[in-house]
Amino acid sequence: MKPGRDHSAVALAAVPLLFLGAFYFYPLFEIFSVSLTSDGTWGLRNIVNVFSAGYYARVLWFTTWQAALSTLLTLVLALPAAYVFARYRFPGKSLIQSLSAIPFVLPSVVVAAAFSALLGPRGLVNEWLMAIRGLESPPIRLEHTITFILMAHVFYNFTVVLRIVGGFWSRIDPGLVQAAQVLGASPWQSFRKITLPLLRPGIMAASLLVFIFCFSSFGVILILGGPRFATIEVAVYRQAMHLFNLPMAAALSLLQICFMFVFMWVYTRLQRAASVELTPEAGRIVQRDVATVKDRLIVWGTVSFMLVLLAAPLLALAFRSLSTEGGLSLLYYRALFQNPSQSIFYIPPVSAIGYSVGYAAVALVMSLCIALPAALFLSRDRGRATSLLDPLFMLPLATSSVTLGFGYIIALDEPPLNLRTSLLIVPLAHTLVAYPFVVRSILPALRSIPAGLRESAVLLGAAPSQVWWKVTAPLIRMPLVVGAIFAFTVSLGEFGATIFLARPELPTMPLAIYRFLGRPGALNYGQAMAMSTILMIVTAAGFLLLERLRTGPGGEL
Amino acid sequence: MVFLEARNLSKSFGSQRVLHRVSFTLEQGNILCILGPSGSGKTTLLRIIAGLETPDDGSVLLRGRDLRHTPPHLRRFGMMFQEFALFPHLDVSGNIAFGLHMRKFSRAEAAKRTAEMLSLVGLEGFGARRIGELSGGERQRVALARSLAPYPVLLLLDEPLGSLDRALREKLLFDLREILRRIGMTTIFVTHDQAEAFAVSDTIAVMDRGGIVQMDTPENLYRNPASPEVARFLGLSNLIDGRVESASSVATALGSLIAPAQGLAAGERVTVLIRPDAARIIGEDEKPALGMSIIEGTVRDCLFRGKNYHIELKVQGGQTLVFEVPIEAGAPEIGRAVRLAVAPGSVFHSSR
Repeated sequence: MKPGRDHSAVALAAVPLLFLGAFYFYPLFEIFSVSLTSDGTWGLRNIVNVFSAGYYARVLWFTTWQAALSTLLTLVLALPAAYVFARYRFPGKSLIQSLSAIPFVLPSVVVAAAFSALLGPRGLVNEWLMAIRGLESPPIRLEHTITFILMAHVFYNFTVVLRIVGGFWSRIDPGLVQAAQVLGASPWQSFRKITLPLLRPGIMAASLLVFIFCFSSFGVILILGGPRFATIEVAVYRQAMHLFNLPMAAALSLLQICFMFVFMWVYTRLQRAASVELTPEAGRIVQRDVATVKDRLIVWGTVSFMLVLLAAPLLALAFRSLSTEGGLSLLYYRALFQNPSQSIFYIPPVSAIGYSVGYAAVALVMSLCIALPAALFLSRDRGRATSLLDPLFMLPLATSSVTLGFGYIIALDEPPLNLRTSLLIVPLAHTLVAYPFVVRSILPALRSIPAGLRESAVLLGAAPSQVWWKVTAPLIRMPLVVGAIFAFTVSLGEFGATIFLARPELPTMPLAIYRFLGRPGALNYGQAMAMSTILMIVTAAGFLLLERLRTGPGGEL
Repeated sequence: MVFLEARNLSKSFGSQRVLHRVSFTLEQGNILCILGPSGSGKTTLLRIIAGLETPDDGSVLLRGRDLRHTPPHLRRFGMMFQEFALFPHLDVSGNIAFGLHMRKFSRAEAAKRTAEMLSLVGLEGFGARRIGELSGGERQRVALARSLAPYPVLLLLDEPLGSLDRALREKLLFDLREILRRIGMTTIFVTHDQAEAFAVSDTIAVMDRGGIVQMDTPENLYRNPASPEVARFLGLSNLIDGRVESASSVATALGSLIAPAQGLAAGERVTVLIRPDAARIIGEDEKPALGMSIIEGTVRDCLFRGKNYHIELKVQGGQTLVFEVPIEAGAPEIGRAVRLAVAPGSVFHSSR
């Protein structure tokens, strides 16, 4: 390697490193120092306080058991679907599989709004029951119950189990189960002795992932759980923003950070073990047609169940945004454009859409600016620097956005970096959340470009800049577009960090929805529904576009 | 009493007919080989007998009892799968003992039987190995041991040597036959390789397009194939069109050939099979032995095969025939015209 190249490598690595240093490690360090200092001296008093106060033990306990229960429920409900998608061929399968992933990419605020639209006190089901039975009050009271939270978590994470476990299942040779049966194993025995042990790595990986998501659940708990329930994330938010107890919030954040790092570390280990174990028998994928009556019952029963579970809340949301006291109308959508004197924002709510799009555009550009040098650096060689920096660049993935938002408000509101009043603080946080995905999107494409391609361009007389524009850039265009769309949608739906950072008069769409949901009155509720519907459609469209780009012709992922 | 009987088995997958009214019987202790090209329905037939597929029509009877309502795990058959289907999460012993545990053998009995099976297939000391560490041949032996361990009443082998390389196949084929004969196992063996079928079986059933076209002992099958298709599948490819002249001769493009045409009317269109073996190059004026015909042609190619020469002969009419000639006479020169004395073959009615 020429010495000149080393300089450019350092320059490439410097961009993401400086960004991470200022906007990730510095806030994280501030959380450490706030939680570990009291009255100007270092010590563990705050941490000890967290564990000695009963409330916080209850928070940790609740966080853990609701996550465990959510995981178990998701697993039990999604396993049959994983089987059906792994073993059968049927019309509409790939479409249903794509659509079933939509809940997972929706902003948590939209999911909360959708469940409220279906089963909340103003929800469709309650309205119908009241109309049919002539009741005065809603008969189904799920708001602020654990059931509501669990349902939303299952809805959210169903596709995680479906995809991961389904993927494992489809790679298990059906001959193994048949061999077991000829050897005398009943269908149940062959499932327990053969299929289940072979699925175990997949089940473990999917379970841990779902557990991590539910453990750090914020929007769903905050909105659907009400004041009775708090995960660590929600407790951090309440301590910091309602009670202004920054040391306590910092101690809780630290706790959350430690848990998340441990979970992510275990997850990476699991994934590595799983990929090793799968190699010997990973081979042809055998799927059968829906032939017998039994097949039909299994397949269409599962698909209908999925549609009810996954589509009903979203359809209810869309329907609820259109149903007013005077029948179906666009009343709530029109109201988004008005600015009545009692408005909670003093501006037309529709401007939240403008702010969201603006923030998202800035976050998109910044994500590309950080991710591109990072990916270029990582694609150069697989030396020690790369294997050290690759996980470092991915570290923000293991940090919850609430922790991030909290870290920003305690770190970036005073010199040396005072961004409290800067418009950039929101897109900066979004960039930190989004850029690892962009790196992961570009990197495989960059690595798949054979070195000979660039070298032959150089031998043909191309200058380094020409090599980039004529060879490399065209080859990674599609992954770049995929990464950009991803960054944009992540930013649009981001809630946990934004709620700490956005200025009250410049709300994003998720914040506007959250505030609408917190106000009384049919008009506010209707506007929450209308804006959630808009956000849902934009996010779902972005996701489906991603799926097409990734799997369609020319996709390189 | 007949041990196993297949009665009019039919099966279609969608619009594709895979089996059509297949029937056969098998005596206890016999080895039946189902021989056919890929796509002839032989694997489906085996899977129906195992209970892994349900026939659209017909039934499988074991000692006269219909197995229609017996699921595969209660049939007490052993089966070796094409890719062996060894359980990757269990070690060698775990695989072999699986069926024993399923059939509720005690721990001690299962361990004893597992050790017995390991020594039967020559894998003593391999019990604790992981499946991923085994070679192809070792996997094949583990699969055989696993299918034999729980004392099956019938062993089903689906291309048991199909995924192995040539040299290994011949060695394992010999071992397989030896083991099956020693324990007197009733076996159905599916293969597309006629050499395997001839080596192992008491009876061969040749399958083509979903039906059994001929079922006989290997010797009879080779001597009297029932149709040009069977002959071609057995590797007998010297088939020549002609017309019957008399009860013992057929007129062809190569001249008049001595061939058994009893019971056929003179002038009838037939196909004559000339065996590649038992051919001999003879001199310019030499007379052939009694009952042998003479064929003339040009040597296109000649391969030394150890016991004999494999020659390709271009004959009158443009056809190329293959023969195995003894090495004592020396290698025939390529491009030279030769005379061959050949044995009379079979005569088939032309369906064309």
